[in-house]
Amino acid sequence: MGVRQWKADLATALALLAGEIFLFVSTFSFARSAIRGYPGAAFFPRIILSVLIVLTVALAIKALVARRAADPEVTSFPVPDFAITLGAGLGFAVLIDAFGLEVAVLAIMLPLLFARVVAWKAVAGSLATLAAVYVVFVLFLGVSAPLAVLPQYVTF
Amino acid sequence: METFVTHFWPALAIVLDPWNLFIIFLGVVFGIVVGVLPGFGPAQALALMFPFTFAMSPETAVIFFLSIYSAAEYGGSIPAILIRMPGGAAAAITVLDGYPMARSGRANRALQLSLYGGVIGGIVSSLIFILSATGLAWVGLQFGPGELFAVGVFGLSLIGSFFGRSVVRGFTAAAIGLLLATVGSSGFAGLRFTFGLPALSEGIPTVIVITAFLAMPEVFQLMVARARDEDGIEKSLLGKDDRGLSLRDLRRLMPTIMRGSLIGTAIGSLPGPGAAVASLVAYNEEKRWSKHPELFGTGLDEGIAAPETANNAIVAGALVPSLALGIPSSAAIAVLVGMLITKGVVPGPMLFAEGGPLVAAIFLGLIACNIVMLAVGLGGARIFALVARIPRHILAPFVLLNMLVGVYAYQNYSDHIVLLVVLGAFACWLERLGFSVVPVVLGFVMGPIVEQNLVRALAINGGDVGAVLGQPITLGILAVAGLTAFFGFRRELRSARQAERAVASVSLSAS
Repeated sequence: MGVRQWKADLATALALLAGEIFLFVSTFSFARSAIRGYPGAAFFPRIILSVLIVLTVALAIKALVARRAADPEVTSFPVPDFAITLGAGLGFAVLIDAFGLEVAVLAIMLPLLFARVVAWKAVAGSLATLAAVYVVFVLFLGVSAPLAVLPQYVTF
Repeated sequence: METFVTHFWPALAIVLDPWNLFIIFLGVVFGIVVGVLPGFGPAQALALMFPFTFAMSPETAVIFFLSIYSAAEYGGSIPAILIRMPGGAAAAITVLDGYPMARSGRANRALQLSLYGGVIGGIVSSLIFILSATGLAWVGLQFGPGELFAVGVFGLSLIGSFFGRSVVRGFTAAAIGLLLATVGSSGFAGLRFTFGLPALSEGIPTVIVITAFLAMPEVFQLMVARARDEDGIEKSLLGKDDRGLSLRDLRRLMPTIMRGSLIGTAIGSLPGPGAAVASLVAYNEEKRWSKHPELFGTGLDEGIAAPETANNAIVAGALVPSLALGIPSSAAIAVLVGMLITKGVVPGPMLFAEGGPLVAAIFLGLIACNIVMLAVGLGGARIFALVARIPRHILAPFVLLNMLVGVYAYQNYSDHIVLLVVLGAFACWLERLGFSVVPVVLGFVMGPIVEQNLVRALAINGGDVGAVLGQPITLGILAVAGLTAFFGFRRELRSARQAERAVASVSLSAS
């Protein structure tokens, strides 16, 4: 997927502008100040959003000015790899709560490694990764991750 | 200084005790391991080890904590250099030149630059403390909330002016970071921008912003990588020409390291700014001093040495307000001060007069732990650099999983992973459009410093903005910030006009 730089810049600037205006309006629902001298919860966000709106308008104007100049295309955006990366993240979030750390780790690592190395290396690598994550995060650092099979503590 | 001289020999005997040297070694190893992990920094490492200090003497416990602190600051730079995933905010600046240097096949050199810079910075700042603790403490006392707000604004002006393709993009990215920092509790009056989502009620954790904006775009690049690149040549990060640093290189880098040490010590002695600001200011100063500032960001030695020196030099600097005034200057130092209090040692002016060899042992111990860190780091650098041998397309799933588990481990909240994915997607798109995402992270880190100090200053002065901004030090720093931003915009306008003239002259000669 290739897009002209100025179009991508303009679309992003307009989307950001819409978001900034929405957030600015939402600051009117913030709590008022109850302390003398304290300007209220909306004070600092409004300053930032005002600056952002000015900068975003500047970006939009720059994009429109650049429309006339020789404009390289944005390099093609590999949508399938992007979707796989995002899907892996979201899948991990769902699986770890539903089935535990072991299933989540193996479910992410096995397909990704199968696509890159031979089968036995993929399996070995996935199991080694699970072992490393378990030892470092669960046993060593005491992270209370949900576990389906492995013990939360190991005593000797 | 008098205290140090009086108690020098007893303090040296404490530090050179075999048991304490072993404790230093353990602290360095643990600190490096924890520093490497995303989401775990010095504060978390010290908190984890707190129970182990109950059986230690005050001197041993402090030396243990300082070993962990120094090593964790160094440890955060290792993934920053190798896989563009800093272990903490302070190492975000190291990514700028460390990662390109590793990508060009000089991972070992980059790691050694980080190590030598950190070690020398730590030792120099310890010596500066010994000589001038009282003076630095006095300077630190002059910095109230208004002055610290100005320091934060100055940091933002640097961020916006020197990162990214254009100053407008740089300031936009920094402002996005500032805005993300306002999500959650306002501190004084309710929640902001949570939209009813429990995951946002405590704000966006720093680990998510760092991982999403710095690591996610690189993870995406790794996922896209194939076994053979477009030229059909398999690439590995570890080149044949990956020599470590020579003595000649170190001599050449000494001015850089000295500047970084002074900057790190000075900024560390101020309660608030922290290692990220120290790294940023040191990097910026180095760029200003350089004869070839355009080379920064391409894998320059100075681009790694400066920030890494500064972020280790703050350790001794941070001890100045903590020990001399009882004011912890960072979360990690707050844990250390808490540990001292549990042992009946009360930080403050009397500690220097009545603390015996403890203060001297602290600074000799800091020097000793940097020497141990050098030995451990040199041996470990060869092992860490092996990561660079792994082909990128195979490294991808491991880095992705490390990122996901690291974020989950922060609070066992799967909603944080969803937040990571959303922000990461946004970061990928921003990078595609030519924004540098480093300002977003730095703006996020600086946001609380700027807002909280401004709000405190206003509350103290009854809402009188003039009284807050009219203080001499505040006014001076804000003026410098304004000039920095002005020169940044002027530089961009000049570059744009030069580019237009160049295009026009090419068109004329073609016709």
